[in-house]
Amino acid sequence: MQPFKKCFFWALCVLLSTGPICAANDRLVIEENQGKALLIYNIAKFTEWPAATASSDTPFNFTLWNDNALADAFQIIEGQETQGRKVKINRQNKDSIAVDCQVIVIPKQQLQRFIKARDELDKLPILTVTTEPNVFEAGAMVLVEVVDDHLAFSVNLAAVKASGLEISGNLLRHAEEVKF
Amino acid sequence: MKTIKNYLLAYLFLAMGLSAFGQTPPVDLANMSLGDLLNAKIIRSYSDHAAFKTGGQGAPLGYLDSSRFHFSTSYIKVRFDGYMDGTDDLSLGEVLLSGGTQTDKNFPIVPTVITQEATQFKTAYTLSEQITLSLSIPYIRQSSEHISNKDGFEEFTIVSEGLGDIETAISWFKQLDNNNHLLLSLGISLPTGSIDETGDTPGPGRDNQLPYTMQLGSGTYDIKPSINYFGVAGDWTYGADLNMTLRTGKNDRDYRLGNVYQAGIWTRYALTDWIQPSFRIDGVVWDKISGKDTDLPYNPVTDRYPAAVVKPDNFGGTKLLALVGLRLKDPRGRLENTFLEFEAGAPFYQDLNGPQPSEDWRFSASFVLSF
Repeated sequence: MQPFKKCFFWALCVLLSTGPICAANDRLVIEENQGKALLIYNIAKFTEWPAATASSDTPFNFTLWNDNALADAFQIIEGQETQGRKVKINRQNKDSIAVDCQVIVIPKQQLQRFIKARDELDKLPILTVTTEPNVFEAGAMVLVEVVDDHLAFSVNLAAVKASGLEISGNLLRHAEEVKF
Repeated sequence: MKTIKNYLLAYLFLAMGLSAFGQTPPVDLANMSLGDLLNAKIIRSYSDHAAFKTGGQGAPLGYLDSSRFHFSTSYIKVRFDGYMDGTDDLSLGEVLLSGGTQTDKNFPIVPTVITQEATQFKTAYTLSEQITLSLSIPYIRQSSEHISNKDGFEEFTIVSEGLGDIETAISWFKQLDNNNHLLLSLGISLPTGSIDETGDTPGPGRDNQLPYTMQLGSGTYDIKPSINYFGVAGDWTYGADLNMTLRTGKNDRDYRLGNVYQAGIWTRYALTDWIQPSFRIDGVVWDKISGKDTDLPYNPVTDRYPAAVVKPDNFGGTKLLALVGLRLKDPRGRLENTFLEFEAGAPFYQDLNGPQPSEDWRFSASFVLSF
């Protein structure tokens, strides 16, 4: 009985110690806002801006509009490089919309202001991204959300093209929904 | 010695395992591939929690946002004015004994207006994504105006104030899906509020034991389970809750206040970013007092009490309340997780074990700060 107990004890130790390692390695675990920030950054990598607006000596601006929690998460990509330019994170804590950027993230509470500014934005090469379905329905180009326990995104391709941007087909094939 | 070595090795194995469980292997997140990112398991951000939109009376404090520490202070005032027996209103003339023989429906002393005020300080700490601990400390002030047929006490007012029953709770949060959430809590109320408050009432001396309604605590350890559901649909937030106060044993004065069962439904609308009106219906059922404080006046010969508020059977009942509220917040900057909320309401149905003072109205104000 003694050897059996000893074997059982060690087997239990090994199971307890290796089980979590296996579980942890199955899927990478990311906090929601950080995941959304990374996905938006990845989407920007697969997007092409009109050549006239791309200058390698100016920063590539992401604007977070009155959303400090998400802006904090975006710090993870500050200083990274995309489109040959350094990424800069701007916090727009005013009610007016920022237009001196390449990507703007629109929160739910700015829905009405976004609707008012939409005509102006449509003429500019700015990728409008949101994490709120209502804002996407109102005309934002990209919706980033959590479905069950993973990230997903949808693209309003008609709105993207209307603003002179191009999104790679390699990105679109991963989209949950593409509006034409 | 060999045994100690075995245990040390075992501990090392376990420690390695647990640390692997608690950490994500280091990854250059900024350079993750799109495929890896879309395959990653996402854990919820507190800041996007629907509970963030409930707060206040709906109030799973601690699940409000991405903050770890949450403080709130709230003030509530409840005014009782008038009497009811069952669902019937009674006049003060019907309740006050003025000549004739006392029955079990009239009394020589009648509280006319009772005001209860509570200022509550609550702190919560978010232990993990699902578990929050909280501590509530109430300060209570009560006053009661009376009329009586006793000489020298035709009109008099008594007041009691001090620390109430401190409550601590643990809450467990479950996100049912993106829009629906459940919060289960289990609290315990400690008998820190006084049940020995005295005052100058008609009696043998000047420091007589005050009625049950004027005491600051229950005197018992009370179990307080609750279930809160809340959901989001566009600009609407809605929820339902069930809260219970279950008394255990009897206090040092040999009585036990009645159990309290409260159920409510509520909704809140985000009119703008900073103003959110709400509406709530609450139902409350509470039991009679069990046992008796023998220091309170009672005539065992006639089986009569001098006031309704010292008669244990004249407690308990059912009431339904309607309440309207208004939440004010600045959704931008550092104040985005802080809000001020007002709520006021009145019962629209009361069925009381009477004669019993009936509630007239209530008002509350809450300020919630998270960081």
